[in-house]
Parts: sequence; C-alpha cells; structure tokens
Amino acid sequence: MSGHVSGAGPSRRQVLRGGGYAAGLALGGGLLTAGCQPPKGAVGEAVAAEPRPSYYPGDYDRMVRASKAERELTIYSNMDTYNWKPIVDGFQKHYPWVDNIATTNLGSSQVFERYNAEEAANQQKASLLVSGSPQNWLDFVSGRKLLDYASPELPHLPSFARPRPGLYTFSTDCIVMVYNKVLLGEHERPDSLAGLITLVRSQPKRFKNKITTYSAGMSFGLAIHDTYVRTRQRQGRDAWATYDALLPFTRAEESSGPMLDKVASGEYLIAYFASSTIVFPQMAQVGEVVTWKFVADGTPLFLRGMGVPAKSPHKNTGKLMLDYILSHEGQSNVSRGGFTAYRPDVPADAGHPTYTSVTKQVGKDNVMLIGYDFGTQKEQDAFVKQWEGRLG
Amino acid sequence: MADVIETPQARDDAAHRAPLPAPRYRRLLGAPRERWIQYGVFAVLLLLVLAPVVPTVWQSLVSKPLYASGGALDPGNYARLFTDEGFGTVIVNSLLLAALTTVFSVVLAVVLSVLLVRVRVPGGRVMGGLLMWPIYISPLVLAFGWIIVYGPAGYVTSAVGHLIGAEEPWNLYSIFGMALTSTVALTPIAYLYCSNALRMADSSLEHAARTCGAGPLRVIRSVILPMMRPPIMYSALLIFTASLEELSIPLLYGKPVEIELFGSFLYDYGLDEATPDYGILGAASVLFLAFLAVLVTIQGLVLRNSRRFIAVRGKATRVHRFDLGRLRWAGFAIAAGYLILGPGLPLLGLIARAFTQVLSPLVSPLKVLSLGNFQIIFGYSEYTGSIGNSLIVAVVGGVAVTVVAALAVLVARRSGFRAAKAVEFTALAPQALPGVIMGLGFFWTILFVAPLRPLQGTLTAIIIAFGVAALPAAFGAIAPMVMQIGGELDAAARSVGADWWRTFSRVLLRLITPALLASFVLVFVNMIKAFSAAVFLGNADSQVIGTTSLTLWTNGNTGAVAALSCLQIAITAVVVVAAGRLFKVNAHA
Repeated sequence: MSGHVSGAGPSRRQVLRGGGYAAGLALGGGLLTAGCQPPKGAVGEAVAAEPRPSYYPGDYDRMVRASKAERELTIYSNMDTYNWKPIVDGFQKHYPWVDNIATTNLGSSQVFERYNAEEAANQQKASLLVSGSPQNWLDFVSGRKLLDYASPELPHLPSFARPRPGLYTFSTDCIVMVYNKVLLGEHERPDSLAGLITLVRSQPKRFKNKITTYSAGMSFGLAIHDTYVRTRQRQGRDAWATYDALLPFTRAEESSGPMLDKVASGEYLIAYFASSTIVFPQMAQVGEVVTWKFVADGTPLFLRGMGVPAKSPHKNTGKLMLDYILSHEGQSNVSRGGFTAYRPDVPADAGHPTYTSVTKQVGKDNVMLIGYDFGTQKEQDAFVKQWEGRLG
Repeated sequence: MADVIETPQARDDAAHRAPLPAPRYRRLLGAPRERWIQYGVFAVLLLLVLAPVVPTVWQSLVSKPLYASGGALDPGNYARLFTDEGFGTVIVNSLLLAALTTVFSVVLAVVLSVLLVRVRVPGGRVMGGLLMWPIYISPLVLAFGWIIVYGPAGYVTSAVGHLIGAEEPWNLYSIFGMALTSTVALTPIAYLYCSNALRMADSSLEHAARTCGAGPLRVIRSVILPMMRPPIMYSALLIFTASLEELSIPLLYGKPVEIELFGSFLYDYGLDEATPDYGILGAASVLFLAFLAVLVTIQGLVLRNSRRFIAVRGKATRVHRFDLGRLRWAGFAIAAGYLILGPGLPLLGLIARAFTQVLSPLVSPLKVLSLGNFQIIFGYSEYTGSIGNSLIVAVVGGVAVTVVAALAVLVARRSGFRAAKAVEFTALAPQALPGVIMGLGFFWTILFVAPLRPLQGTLTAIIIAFGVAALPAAFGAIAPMVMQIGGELDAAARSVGADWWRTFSRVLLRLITPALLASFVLVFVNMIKAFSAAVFLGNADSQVIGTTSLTLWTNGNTGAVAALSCLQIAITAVVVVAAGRLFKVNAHA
C-alpha cells in the first residue's frame, strides 16, 4: 500500500529506520503493558513497504501527495487511545509524514455536537469522525455534512460497509453475554436468551436484581434493544416476551464498564448484551472470575460508523485514514484494537472474533446488525417507555 | 502569597518611604488607585462569570442549539421542563439529598473541628490532616470505593450479612446511601472553613465565659458554636449546591435502581442523548441560578450583622485547648470511627483495586496482585501527559483563583465600594452553574467571540473554566476570616496615612495568610479532580486527569482509574504539604 514511499518524500532507508523506531517503541510499550493490554505487540515488526493493491485508482497518488502538505490529522471518536494505537502506528508506517495524529476521545454523541458547534463557528478541527451513534449519523448524513467519498476498498467489503453515501462501517462490534464463573457453575451459564429465561424462572429469588443489561434510556442501549425487537418481529416472533421474562429481574446499567466490574464483584451474576469492545480487552484482567459467550439465539452486532466531514481541514489525510481502516491491514489492526473486524479476508482468532466467524458460529438468522433502520423519535420514546415499564 | 499580590508599585513605594510624613499615593486620571482596583476587580469578575452565563440564559430562551441557525425566541423550554413527568420527583429527590448531605456534613464538621482543634484529643492533629483526604479524590472514585466496601456485594456488606444472617443488611443504592457518600466527599469543605475559624477564635470571649463560671462544654455551646456561624453558612451553601448538582454519585448509585437526580437529569438530557436538548439544559440551570440567588440572600440576612463575628482584634491572643478529662476518649472514638468507616475503608478498597487485576470478595486479592494498572497509565504518553496537564491547571489555577478571590473578598467586605454586594454575589454565582453548563457556556463563548478563538482546546481555557467554578470555594475560604478581623486594625493603618490598598497589603494580607493557604489548597484539589467542563473544552493535547479517568472508566479500565486516582492523591498530598511549608515560611518572614 505504500509503494509511493520510495518515489516521493523520504528515502527507503529513512522509512525503514522509522519503522525500526516504531517497532522499538512498540516493543517497549509491549513490555510495559504485557499482560494487561490486548493490543500488545500491535505492530511488532517493521514490515517492508507492501505495494498498494492493484485495484487502487491511478490518481490515488494525487491524494497522497496532497496529504504531505497537510501533515496532520485530528480524529474525533468515542474510543480510547489504546484502541487507536495499533491503527495509528500502522497508518504512520505507510504515511510517515503525517506525524501529528490526535485522537480526541469523546462520548458517542459528543463527537457530533462538538463538530457541529465548531462548524457553526467555522472552526473545524476534525477530519475523521468515528462513533457508534446511529441517530447522530443519520442526522449528519441528512444534513449533508459528510463528504461523499468512494473508497477503492469498497468492492472488497460486505454491503453494509457503506450504509449511506460517505458513511462507512468501522467495525461490527459483537454484543455478548458475560457471567460470574465463581458463582455460576459451568452448567449454569446459558448460551442463549431462552436459556437465561429458563434459568431465572427456575430460581427467581436468586436472580432478582442480579442480572443486568444496557439501559434503553441511552442511545447505545436503545439501539441494541430496539434492533432485537425489530429483528424478531420481522421474523414473526414475539420479542417482547423475552423482555417480559427478563426485565423484572434486571437492573439496567449505562455502560459495559460498570456491568463488567459488578459481575466481577458478584453484585450481578449475568450481564446480557454487554459490549465486546469493553469485555474482550478486559478478559486478561478479570479472567479469574468472569467469562463470556455469544448469545446463540440473538447476537447483535453494532455497526460503528465513520466518515470524513465535508468541511474538514485535512480531507486528504482523512480519506487516506479511512481507506487504511478499510484495508486488509487496517482491519487486522482494528481487530487488535479490540473491535470486531468485518472484512472477509481478515482471519479471526480466539480473542478476536470477526464478523465472518461470529456469523458462522451463531448462524446468519441469529446475527442482528444494528444499523440505521430506526423508527421516528415518537416510536423510539414509546419503545423506551414500554421497556422501562417492565423493569423490576 | 504576598509577593503575588503586591504590585511593583507598592514595593517601590516601600523602598522610598520617608521616615515621618504620610505616604503620598499617585492618582490615576484623578481617581485614587483603590477606585481603579475596585472597579477592575468587579469588571474582571463580571466578565468571567457572564462568559458562561450569557450563552446559558440565551440558550434557555431559544428552541434550537445555539450553533444552529434559525432558532426562534421561545419560552417553550421552561414549559417542557415543568411538564416533564419526572421533573417533580427529580426536584424532590435532589433537595432531599442536598438537605441530608448538608446537615450531615455540617454537623460532622462542627463536631470534628471543635474536637480536633479546640479540645485535647489524642492524635488530634494527625486526624485533622486525615480528615481532609476525601477532598483529594473525585466523588466518582469515592463512590466507586464505597461500592467496593459497602455495595450490594461489598466486603463489609458481605461480612455483616454473614454475621447477622441477612442477605442485604443495607441498601447503598438509595438516597440515604448517596447522602452518606456525598457527606464523606463534602465534609472536608465544611471542616476546612470551621477549623480555620476556630484557630482564629478570640480566647478573650471564652475567658470571659470561664470567669462567669462556665465549664468547657458550656463555653463550646454558648461561645464557640455561635461564633462559627459564618463558616457554617458559607460551607453549608457550598455543600448544598454541590450536592444538588452532584453527578457521579447519582449516576453510579441511582441509575441501576432508577433514582433520578438533578445531576443525572442534566446528564441524560445533555450528554447521553443522541440529540442533546440544550434548551432544557439551559432552562434547568437558569432555574438553579434563581434558586441560588434566594439562598445567597438568606445567607446574607443571617450574616447581616457581621461585626458580631469579629474575633481578631488589635490585641493578639493564643488559642487555648480544652481539657475534657476522660471524655477526650469519647471524642477520639467519634473522630477515629468516622475516619475509618467514612473515608478510610473505601480508600483502602481503592488502593487495593489499583494494585489488583480484579477486586472481588470471591477471589483472594493476593492471587491477582498486579502492577498492570499502573503500567497502563505509564505506557501511554497521553495518560501521563494528562497528569502533567492537571498539575499545571491546578497550580496556576490555585494561585490565580486565590488572588482573584482575595481581591473580591476585600472589595466585597472591606471597602466602601458602591457595588460591594454585587461583587460578592458575582463571586458566589458560579456555584449555581453545574460543571456541564460551565463547560458548554465557555465552549460557546470561545467559539463565537472571535478574539477568544485561539483559546479553543487549550489548557488556558480549562484553567479559566475550572477556576471560575472554584471561585466560590476560594471566596468562602477567605471571607469568614476577613470578617473575623476587627476594623480597628484598618482604622489604625489608615490613621497613619496608609491608603486602602496599603492597609490591605501591609495589615490584612499578613493576617489572612492562613485563609489564603486554605483557599489555595481548596482550589488546587478542586481543579486537579475536576472534569465536566474539560469534556467540552479539552482536545487530545489538553486532557486532564478527570477526562482521562472518564474515558478509562467508560472503557471498563476501572483498575487504571483507581491507579490514576492513587497517583493523583499522592501528588496532591505532596503539593499540599509543600505549600504548607512554603506558606508558613513566608508568613513568619
């Protein structure tokens, strides 16, 4: 992907030296964070500059050259620095002149509020937005604020890679079930919602207030629960029956962090619909007491969206980063950063399932893509009310 | 402190002072310099406070976000706020929480400060220091410590549950549980104010009481406690408003059991929604501001006759400690019991969490001992950078806010300035602005006032926002002490020819140095743990400890949050001790 490197800009030797330096850094970082962070050794070795895939258009170099004048990239995202590290390191190996990459970590809606306010004052900072907030993306797209960019990677990706013009899918993060394995024996850990219902009904006293999920009162949780109900209803099944059975036992949380923490402490026994982006990276730490499974009868996959704003200050670099994230190498680094990659040619491993591996495991019918298909504000409000009314 | 406040001109004057004739002061445009200083202080305060307030009030009156064009003037936000079905419950719950917290903290602080400052209690000095510790950590982290120890699956909860054979001996996730936790978080504020006032107390009044045959308990009840009214009123107001807008404790305790409070209500509307309803946010904070105006007025009425609280007069006295005999052990038990149960055990839980991979009564902590949490912090330059940023923010902010607050107190309480009352109100107004609003307000002001735009995303913007938020605390730390100092000292200075400013810099300033130190410490700890405003104002290069904790927290890195808090506590302790030493040297120089 960086055959351009030897032609223009820094010499090959400089690049290799830079790569070695990056590898040294990564190694040092790896040593320091050994045993506590998933993306360790993310860019372990200095890879030789690999030629750009043949399907990239001939004039791609124009964009690359233009990025040399920009030299910086500000990303607004709802992710943390350590999630970005493998991606940013990998990107900089191909485009070493982009030496100033700032990833500002905000709430999923704050990403858009911040951009909107800055745009109103004509003070745009961000050239790439990444966030998992479907409603905000829909507003952003309908407000024509997104650059309608066609990535050369698109033919090599599934159809949901570009849900709307200019709006791309960053990852398809799986939503899983989490258990306290000290308090629940092997046979007591259901791998489906149906199994969970049977379990809590068999011992109502033991499970009262001891299971948790995302609150439908916040956008992320609403998206999960709403998608579950819609998908099931489309399949001609009564999805509310699941919530009728489970919600009276449930205490709702706002984020997977506290869910996981409280499952570990024993305050909760089971969390259904917890986010893998938080659970997987933490398994190295909480593995003593916590374990997880896919939900065999309904695994939601959350489409995290990304796009280059139409009025961004460093458009070319933003587009390069977008293409990189969609590329084979980029998606592998997305996976190392703790997310679920969806590019078909990216292999899965034990700690890093991919869209392909999850679909294979739970079956196509039981995978529920959380995309951009929502009801009106009124319908959503009604949904939240119904959902919250069922809580115990 | 003296060096910071003294103007070069004042020093210059001092150097060329003639031995006998009264000093002459230069006049600027025909007005004495005090007029300029007073108007200047008022103008600066007004600008600082109006910067976040104006966009907020404006927002409360328009239907769309400020940045969107086409918003029409529309009082509908207020109508929607009052017709929101949950809002009534939110108000009742929040007032209940605020009232409980205020009563608990003030009573505790008064009892503890009398015990530890004025009574001979074994280990009193050490315990007084320990009492301040909860103020070093953010309520988020304290609440998280409380959940580890007293939560439904907490260590003490399980132990007591086993002992008495109950599954759940108590319910931390209740208004009462929230009140206890915020009490621990906010008691240090009240203690700081009360203990300062007690150290300054005028022994001659007590001696008079003793002469009339009053015993130590009687003196405490009839002389010392009534003298403490100014610190009690200031701290009560601060604690009341702080607990009214408190966010993290309601989020942590209230969300799982669906108890909604003012802070979490604002959060739901402002940060959590896909399309934040800024109109409701604005309307709610304007209401809050109006409510505070009433409280400040009440406070003013109670402290109307401020001459009654004067304790420091021209004649110096030494603070005397009462000997209660064997009763002193009862005092010791009260103070030690609170310290262990309130902040002690949860802090221990926090430290244990920092050094383990997972903390749960279900596994032995020794099996999961790890330095991993600290390695996360030190492994990324962004995280270590946020510690440095926080230090800069807190030190620069601590000095700047203390200077501004001292001047504000001086103008408000010690001058013939026409708008003295307005100065006081302006300085106290920021406590009506929840951090979320403060951040948003400054964010908008910086965006829309062109000359301010370079400030966007800088540490300076964060210092200003955090500083304005901390101003009432600093004012409250200094004002009671100034009120305790008799006016005859000023009069003496004025009669030998000093003007208003020199009276301050040569007489008052020296006397209120302990209060300035208290103010610096308070502002420092407030600013090193603050975060809500920085969520809006910071960017990737200007992260502070609070925002880093927040991202770590939402990503499930609770161990790293605990580790970061431990580092923050350590840094704060070092700075506070160092500042104490430094200031003491200055005070005696």
